[in-house]
Amino acid sequence: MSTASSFVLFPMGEKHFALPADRVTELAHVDQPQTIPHTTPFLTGVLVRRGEVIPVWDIAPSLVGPDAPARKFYLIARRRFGSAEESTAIPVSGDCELLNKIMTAPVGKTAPYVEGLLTLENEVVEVISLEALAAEEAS
Amino acid sequence: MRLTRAQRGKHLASPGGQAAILFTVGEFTFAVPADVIREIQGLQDLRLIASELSPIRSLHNTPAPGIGTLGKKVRHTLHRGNRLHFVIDANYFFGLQPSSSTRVLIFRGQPVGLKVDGIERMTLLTQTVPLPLAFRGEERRWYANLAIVENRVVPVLNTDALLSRLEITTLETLLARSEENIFSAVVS
Repeated sequence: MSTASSFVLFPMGEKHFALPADRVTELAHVDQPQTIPHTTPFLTGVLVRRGEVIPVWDIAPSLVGPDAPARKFYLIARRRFGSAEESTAIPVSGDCELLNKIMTAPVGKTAPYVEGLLTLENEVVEVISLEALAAEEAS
Repeated sequence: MRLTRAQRGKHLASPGGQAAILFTVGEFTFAVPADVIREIQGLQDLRLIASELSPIRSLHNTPAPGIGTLGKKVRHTLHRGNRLHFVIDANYFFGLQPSSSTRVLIFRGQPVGLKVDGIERMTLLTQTVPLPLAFRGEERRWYANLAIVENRVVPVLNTDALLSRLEITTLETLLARSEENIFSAVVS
């Protein structure tokens, strides 16, 4: 963890979170997602992007609680399922930023989905492990 | 609406896509392969399964007694010729709010019908994709895959998920027992 890596910083209300940049493929401003009947919690719909059906996974309630602000964009990220991988659209509340930083190990009491921390000028940003977050939501 | 003999004889999948019937339940549109549908009917011939299982005590539109949640899923039967079909309420099956059903899809090769709001149209499914892995609930059984129809995502029904062999046997056994009871009540 001593060399700098690229991360995509995204806002969720007052706070920021980050994903490793190699997991993010696109930031999209798209229409309302479509819905299909299902029973999986936190999936709010699907998007069609270039012939691919992408589930919309709203992680805001898990990260910032029920009072999450309106989401304006979708961060399209790759999520792992064992050896498979697929795109997931994550609604975020504003513009995203690409930055090069050294990630440090989580210190103190952090949520199990926090993979590491990025220290910015005014904020310590949690780097999210999508797989750990999904596992926590499922439990 | 009955599929013609010519349509029945053919397998309706072609290199250009798979023939499918689009149907609606509430605000949602679903697809079902056309070659698994034997007939599409109105609701006029439906009979409450509760009244068949317990003809004297049954109340209008109440679930059939003694069969638990299966009685909520299957509220009606439909007799076509000498074949009895168990009709599933699509709203209950997909966990949707009640809506206005007007049609029953009757499936080929299994004694099952599905009560739906309406038929949108017949179409060719030219683009289908697997259900994304992120979906991990009941929908993994409900849907065979997802079709993209004019940029709309339309789930394609997995007809095997409608009623299991065990559920069909349970319903058939209960109906047979009920008929025996009625017969012995009349004889005695």
